[in-house]
Amino acid sequence: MKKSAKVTLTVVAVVGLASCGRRHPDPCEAATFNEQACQQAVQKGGYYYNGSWFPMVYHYPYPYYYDSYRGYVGSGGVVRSDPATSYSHSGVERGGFGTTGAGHSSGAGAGAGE
Amino acid sequence: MRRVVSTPRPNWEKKVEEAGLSWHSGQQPYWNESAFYEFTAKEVDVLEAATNELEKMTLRAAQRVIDHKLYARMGIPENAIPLIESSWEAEPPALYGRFDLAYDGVHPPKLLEYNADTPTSLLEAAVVQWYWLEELFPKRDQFNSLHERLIALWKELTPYLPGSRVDFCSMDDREDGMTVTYLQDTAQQAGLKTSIFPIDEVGWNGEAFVGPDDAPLGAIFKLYPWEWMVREAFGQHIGKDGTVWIEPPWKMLLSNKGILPVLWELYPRHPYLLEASFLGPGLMMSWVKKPLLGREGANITLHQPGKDVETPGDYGAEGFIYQDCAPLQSFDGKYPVIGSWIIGHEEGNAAGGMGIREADTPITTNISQFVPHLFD
Repeated sequence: MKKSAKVTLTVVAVVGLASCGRRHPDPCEAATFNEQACQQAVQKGGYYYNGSWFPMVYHYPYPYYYDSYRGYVGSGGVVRSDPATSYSHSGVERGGFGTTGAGHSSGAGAGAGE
Repeated sequence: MRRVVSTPRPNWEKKVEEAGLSWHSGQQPYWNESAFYEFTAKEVDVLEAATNELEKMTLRAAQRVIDHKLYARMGIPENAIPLIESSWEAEPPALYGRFDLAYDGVHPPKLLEYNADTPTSLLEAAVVQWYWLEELFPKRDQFNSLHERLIALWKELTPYLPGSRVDFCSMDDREDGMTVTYLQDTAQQAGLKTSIFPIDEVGWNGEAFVGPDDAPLGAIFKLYPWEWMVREAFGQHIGKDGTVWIEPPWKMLLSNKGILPVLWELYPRHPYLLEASFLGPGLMMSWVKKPLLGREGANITLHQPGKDVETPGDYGAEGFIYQDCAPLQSFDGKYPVIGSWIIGHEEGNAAGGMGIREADTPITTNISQFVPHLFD
């Protein structure tokens, strides 16, 4: 058979294409605030997200970020917090695949497909 | 076979985006419907038959590499050999591949290379050009049953996918993301549970590969080349757990350009092949030097008497092969390459459709344009 009888897509292919972008939301950002994770992030100078460490420089103590978050919510801002488990460190190693591609794409802006 | 100039549909950008092609333009349009290629049914039959034949031939070539231990010749590292051989024996799920063919409608198609591990441009071939045909030429035909073949294949593979689930990962790249998201869609339509995440979020918990939620992976489709995976930090863990990798490790035999001289040794002067050699150009007058593990047309040297054209890149450390120069026919000054897809590996019934990418030069690169096709 050479001809497709029907080609339909579910919502995934139409609107889901942006969903595979990197996400490691800063728990101290008002829009992605996570109270427990932010306290630890300020204390440790960074945070784990899904097992990977993201170093950060926080210039203010934790209450500053909490107040910012409260102000944001008070002005009608929408908060999309990740669960605290996303910021836990389980002992799982990550980042062991992808390094070669990252090296190649830094020059050409290409992915790994061909 | 001919190239027909055509007027792009009004709002074509929006239309292809609605079909899932979120990246359709770079420095110039990648999706190019200002032309299309028209084939006869007989020409499509030729391409379909060649694709099925090449599929059979490449599987024999893989067997030859294994039987004769040609790994070092192909730049395949030692730690990859057990993975290749065990997966070849076990025959775990394998999904797809794309033969890149030179074809002019007159002479037999010639195999330029086989993207057996990480082919992209699938959404364009399976869906976007199909919608284009349906809107502009609904009474005409297209060599394209990719979409339903993919869904049917996922259904067939379901018993081999733990928990009727398959996860998808790739680099955090838009083009690769389109391909894996489309494949995820077809898996979902086949009734499988799925998720998708960047490949650098794959974890190792000391005993098993895990997803971003720390749960062990069952089956995972990775749009990321095996030759990179086996050399990276987690390469040492592959095979230690029960993860089902799609494509399977043996595909690294076929995606390696070294398969081209192996094919030529097995099938000398076959009408679908170009002469190829590991050693050098020999008596070839015009030839192409390709890195064993090159990608996207990088580090290619096209030699013609009195003239060498080279493309930039950072591939070639593992070595090169030499291939006779294909007599690429120019159509309106453009050089089309047929991407002929196989879905599954059923002998004689793997060819599932085609997509065409054309370039201003005989070397297809990542700035080539995808052009739709039809036939009567």
